[in-house]
Amino acid sequence: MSVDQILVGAAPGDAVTGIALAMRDLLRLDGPSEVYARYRDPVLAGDIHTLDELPVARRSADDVLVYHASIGEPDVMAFLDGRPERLVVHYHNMTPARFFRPFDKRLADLLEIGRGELAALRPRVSGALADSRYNADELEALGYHDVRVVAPPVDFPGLLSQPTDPSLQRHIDLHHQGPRILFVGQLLPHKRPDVLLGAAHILRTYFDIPVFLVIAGTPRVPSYAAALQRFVVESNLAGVWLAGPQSPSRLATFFRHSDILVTASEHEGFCVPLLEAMAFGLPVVARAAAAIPETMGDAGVLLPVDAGPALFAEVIAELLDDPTLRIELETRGYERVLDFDLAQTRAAMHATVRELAT
Amino acid sequence: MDTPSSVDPNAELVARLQARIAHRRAAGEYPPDLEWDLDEHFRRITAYRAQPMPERLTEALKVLDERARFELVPIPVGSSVPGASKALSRVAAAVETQTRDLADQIRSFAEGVRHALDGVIEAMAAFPATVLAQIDAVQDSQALLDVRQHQVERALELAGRRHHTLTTIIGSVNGEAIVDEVGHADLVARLVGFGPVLDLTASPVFSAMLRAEEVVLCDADGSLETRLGSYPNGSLGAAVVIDAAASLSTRELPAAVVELARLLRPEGLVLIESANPASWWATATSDRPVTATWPATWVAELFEAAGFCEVAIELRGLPPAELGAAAGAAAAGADDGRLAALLLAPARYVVTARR
Repeated sequence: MSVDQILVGAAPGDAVTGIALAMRDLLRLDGPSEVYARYRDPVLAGDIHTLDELPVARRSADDVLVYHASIGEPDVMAFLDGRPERLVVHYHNMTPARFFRPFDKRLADLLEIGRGELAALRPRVSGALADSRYNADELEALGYHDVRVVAPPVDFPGLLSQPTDPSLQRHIDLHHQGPRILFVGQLLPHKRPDVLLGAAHILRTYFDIPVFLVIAGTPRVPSYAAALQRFVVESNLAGVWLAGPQSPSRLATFFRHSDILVTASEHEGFCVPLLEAMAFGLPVVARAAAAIPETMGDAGVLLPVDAGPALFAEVIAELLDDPTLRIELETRGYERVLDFDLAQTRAAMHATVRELAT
Repeated sequence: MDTPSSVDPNAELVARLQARIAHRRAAGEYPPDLEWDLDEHFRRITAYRAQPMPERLTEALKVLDERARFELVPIPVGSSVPGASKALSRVAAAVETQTRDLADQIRSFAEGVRHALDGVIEAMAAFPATVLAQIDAVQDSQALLDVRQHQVERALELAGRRHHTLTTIIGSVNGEAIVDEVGHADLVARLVGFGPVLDLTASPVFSAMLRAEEVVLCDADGSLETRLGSYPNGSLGAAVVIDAAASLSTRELPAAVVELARLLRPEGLVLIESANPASWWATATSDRPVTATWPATWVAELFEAAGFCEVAIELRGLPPAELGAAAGAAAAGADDGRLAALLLAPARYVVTARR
């Protein structure tokens, strides 16, 4: 029996790609296992194959394909339709299309059809797992049964041991005077970095706190990234850096040199950066949206889903002004990270996939 | 893994902060509609990008088409008055002729508008990003001007408060290049006595060196002309012109030297560091246009004529080390003496002078 994985797209730094590779390494303890993708960043050519490289010969219902669902793609559906293997779905959530409609209609359409595809796949699926209870609930609402919840393995030791990037550190030391606020995540509409820009504006203009806000993440939708840049310029907002994609070393450097991690995201299937920030001892602030409360636990400040820039600004000001609260959150954060111990999450994922595959 | 049952342990904190926001609004500490304004501002920016201009024009065109469908309204010609129908028919025929003619003119006009819009749509569809980028660039420039003006005002205010004269640093590339080529500690040490430094470009390393020496640095990036004109005679302690002079034409350089003489107080220092336009290495490796060729003797005369003394011109830096041997070999094999001179000419010029 072989267990292989199918992705719609594979790119460096993409969370789902990272999970698939981690899972592949675990599955290889039992036998051969590969990852295949419809769209693949050429950088990953050594690690990930294209769909047409997956052989049909000598494959049967004894073998298993784990399909990572996070967006729709008719080509992948057609591909899965013709395969003899049994199918396991790993659901990472699909962002509601409404967030993307104004910026990228094609992407919005793919997200919309993705849920339909998931429902259509259900009769063929022999097992399902999800990153969070929130994701599992969505899958069950589409008719799936007995969806297993397995947190994605987060490589805290690997990130914590990353060296500090010297040129970035020098840049931060020279230019980021004042409190440093960090957002980590792809620049996508549902992550709502615009709310954080508004909060920075309030902090600097009305509270006279010279915060420096770093938005660290890959701009996946060009028109949205351009709109954010425009917002910064038109607001005459100093102390904001749309820093773009980050290497692990630069990411670790940002975590080490920041005071607070904050996100105004309205939709997350898990939200790894919250835990990464906790591992670095940062207090975290987020909206209680989607799977965020489940991931964060009581280890950070949870704001109402409709919290606006003013409330974010107030929380940031409060945290900067209250070392006791910061220390309390730091302690709770370290404790929360222990709940996601890498060895345990890896073992849980391995056991679950193995069970679903047999 | 534990999944907490209570998802909002900070309810008390959130409630307290929400109350504080209400208090701030009531006290007028920030505008009551501030959040709405921010949201609306971003919504407007995104809406502008969400619907490409050609699509908007296409919609406008559809509306125009619909409105250009004219119908002639029949003119009633029936009448109970004997003979009136005939007269009315004649009038109606005349009015109809006139109306048809008018309608044709309107259709022709609408067709002209439509044709013009088609041309605009075609042009914008071909270069939508460029049009947007150009609009953005204009707005960016406007915003930048405001920022720069504020920075210069701040620098002047700072200088006034501390009763110091200003030092200006004009031009430059990045900080590393300054350190490598000019901005050694020697330069920093010379600037210490001059008080606040107005830097017309951002150069992180140089800024750090100055800060370490407790020299106050004000960033005031901007165009040379607009920045210097506002300073009074003899208001600057020193002028450091880095990597800018070679881009001046032979006509502009004398004017710049005279302007520096006007700006500097007596004993004021000027330091110019530039690519040597006579060097092939400097011009071939520079990412900036080098527009002038100025012989050292001519430059020295310019400064002396403008009232400077202690004029020293230093030609620095042979061709890059890794190219030196190749350059020498090429020069040795070159028949053309000018080519040999070009290849072996020092890459940088450093001019120092005292007012």
